[in-house]
Amino acid sequence: MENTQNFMGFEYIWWQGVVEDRIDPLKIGRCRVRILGFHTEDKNMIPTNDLPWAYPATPITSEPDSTPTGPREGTWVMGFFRDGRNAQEPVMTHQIDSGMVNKNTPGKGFNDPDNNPAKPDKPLLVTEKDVGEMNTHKLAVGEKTGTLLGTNSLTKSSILDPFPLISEPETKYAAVYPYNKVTESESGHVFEVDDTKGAERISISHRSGSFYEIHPDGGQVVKIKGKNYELTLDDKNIHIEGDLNINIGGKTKEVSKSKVVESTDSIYMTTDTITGTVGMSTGYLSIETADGITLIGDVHIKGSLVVDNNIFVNPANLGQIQSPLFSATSPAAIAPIALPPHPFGAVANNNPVDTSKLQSETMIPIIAVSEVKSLAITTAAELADIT
Amino acid sequence: MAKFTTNPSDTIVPGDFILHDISLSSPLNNNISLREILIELNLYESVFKHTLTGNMVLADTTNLLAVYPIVGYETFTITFDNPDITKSNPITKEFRIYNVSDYNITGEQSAGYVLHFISEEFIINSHTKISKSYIGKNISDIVQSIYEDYIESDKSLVIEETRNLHDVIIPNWSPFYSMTWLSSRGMSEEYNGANYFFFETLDGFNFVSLEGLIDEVRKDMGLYPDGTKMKYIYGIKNVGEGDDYTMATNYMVDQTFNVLHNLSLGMYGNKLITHDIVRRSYTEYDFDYKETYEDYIHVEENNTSNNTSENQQSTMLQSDTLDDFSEKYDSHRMMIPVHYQLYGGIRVPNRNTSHHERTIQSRVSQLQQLNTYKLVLTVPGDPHRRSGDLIYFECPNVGASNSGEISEDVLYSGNYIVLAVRNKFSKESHETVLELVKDSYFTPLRKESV
Repeated sequence: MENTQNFMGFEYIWWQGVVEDRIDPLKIGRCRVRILGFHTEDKNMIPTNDLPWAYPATPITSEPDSTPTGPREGTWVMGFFRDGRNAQEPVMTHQIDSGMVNKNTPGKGFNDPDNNPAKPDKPLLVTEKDVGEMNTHKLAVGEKTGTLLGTNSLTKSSILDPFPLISEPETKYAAVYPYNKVTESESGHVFEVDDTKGAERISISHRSGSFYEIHPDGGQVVKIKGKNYELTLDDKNIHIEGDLNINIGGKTKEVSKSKVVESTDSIYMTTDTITGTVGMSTGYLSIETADGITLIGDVHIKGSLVVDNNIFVNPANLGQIQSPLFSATSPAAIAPIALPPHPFGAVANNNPVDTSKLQSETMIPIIAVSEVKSLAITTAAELADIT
Repeated sequence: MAKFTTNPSDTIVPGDFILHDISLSSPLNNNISLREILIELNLYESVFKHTLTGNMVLADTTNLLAVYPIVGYETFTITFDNPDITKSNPITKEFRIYNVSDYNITGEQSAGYVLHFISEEFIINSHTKISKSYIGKNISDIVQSIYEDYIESDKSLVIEETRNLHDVIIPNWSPFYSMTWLSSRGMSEEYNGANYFFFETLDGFNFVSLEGLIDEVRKDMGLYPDGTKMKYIYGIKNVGEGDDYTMATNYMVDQTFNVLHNLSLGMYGNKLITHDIVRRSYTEYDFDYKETYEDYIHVEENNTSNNTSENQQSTMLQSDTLDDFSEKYDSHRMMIPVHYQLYGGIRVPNRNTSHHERTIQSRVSQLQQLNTYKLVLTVPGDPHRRSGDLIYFECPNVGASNSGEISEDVLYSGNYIVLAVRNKFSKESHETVLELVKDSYFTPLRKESV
């Protein structure tokens, strides 16, 4: 190339300056930068609004259509003038903002003018640094106090107290500089990738206190301080090799097209002993067990009871079948027989009734109905005929 | 023979001058005259120089440098008069001494040296920097503002209005550097070219285009009936006679065409690529000397008479070859950045209409046109000549003509722009040396072969 004058690229001039405005009317990530040595700090001579928009150059690893909006007002950045010595067209290439926290003087150039109307309110939990301190994030240098993480670990959920099934684990934060990569947004969201030996974590925290943390052992804690919605537009598969413990402070309601519950062991449902009710509203309920069903307490059947086999009454409890129209008592002539180990004790639920034993050893059939697919036991006469 | 005189009643011939005052002063000392020790004094001005400069050769027998002393804080004043021209209206100028050079011992009690001086405004310029935004302003307004705010001179400033609004920040430049930079972006309100200059003459400062300077003379037929400010003649018969201050005493062709330079520097044609980083696009512009020739004011008005074809203008190229050169845009390629809505925002709308890309191509060509034919002409002391003047030079044809009459040289005669002026004062005379350039031929080139 023979002509190097008036030819862009032969003479880029590097510069350094401070972002004073990032409300780019074109919304492409440009910032107004006051450039040291070229622009005076005197805003009477060059008001912030008169500064040219510095174009944001991005790394080649960034997505082409993404908008780089990293620098904030007050951030030191560097770049070059595309037009060389003319010094009119700045391009931002890097932030050079690590170092000491300085006092902000909004009225002077090279400071945050603090006149950005769209700037978020000062967040409640954002990590603050004092003037004179290095502005490296506290979490990156092993200081948890005064950070969102430190605050978060002190405010465990109060709803956990009456539900001791689950307790909120402590964070495994034990970062050592320089292994914890921390990014905190200006409203206080914190992203951590902590490679500290023995305390490797990944943590994403929302300024509200909701967070997600993966612990060094691979454990995970997810804490949601607001409502939680999880939508899956296809199958969802959960594999749990240990126990599943759920504390629910409110009610549980589940709607599905159908439900199958399989268990290799028992299934328990426990409700409050006074008000608790287990209700089931369904078109048809089928319960199939290998060893039978034990019901503890009275059973109130508001419809018909159809039995394909025998009905037994436990003579040990002087069981009766009673109806205004019918009464049958176990034959008194049969003396009570010693029962096998008590089948109806407090823990009887996991000891189903052995009906074959009852029938042969302890019980006599009161009613034996065969070929009765839709039988209604209605009158004493009918029963008498049968017996 | 011209002479340096102090007596207005002496017989006056061209080159004679009266040196009313030539003195030094300093904050600590009274004025001291340099008249007796002055050997030579040169006063320079140029469209390429921001201020007047000069130097004087002194033969010092009193060790003035040490005794006075001369240490760089002195003011130098000169008042001179050319009675036959100025009609006894002396010109007075003040300068600042800024350097001593070429000191040498010339005898047991004498030394020679050169004192350099410059306009006070340049000293101010040297310690002043501007970091200021000028948003939505035209170039001439910015120049006016800088001149008033930073140069702080009592001298006049002639400004030719520019077109288009610009958003610029002067990024800690000196005032004069800023002026030069602004010159490169200025387009005249009235003319299409882009050949603005900021310079000082003996009359004051100027921010004008050469087109404006040329056209100003042409339009004022009352003051300049010949279409130029001055006509100088050179001829053998005139040398040494010195009875007319229009008679050039010497001329030298300093530079003639250099097609290779003209090509590579973009005079005949050039290409500009602009890259708009926001619009993500680029645009190519071609500049064609031939097609745009009539868009600009040249030192010679288009002349299609005589023995030339209708299409042959006063251009620097013969029409047969014009296409070959002027359409070779790749001979000089430029690429500049463009940034859509570089300035402005929600609170301050963008008002930039500068279109800098439209000035750069014509400026490149026009400046090179001024670098094609350059003459150095020495004339009797003429205190009225200024940089930027349009003059006519009648140069004899050195070849014998059939008729035996002396005819004008078709190449070197014609209108010229004065780029620079050197007023040289010595014990003997006052001479004015002019650096002249032209961008077109007085006699259009013949299309037909001889």
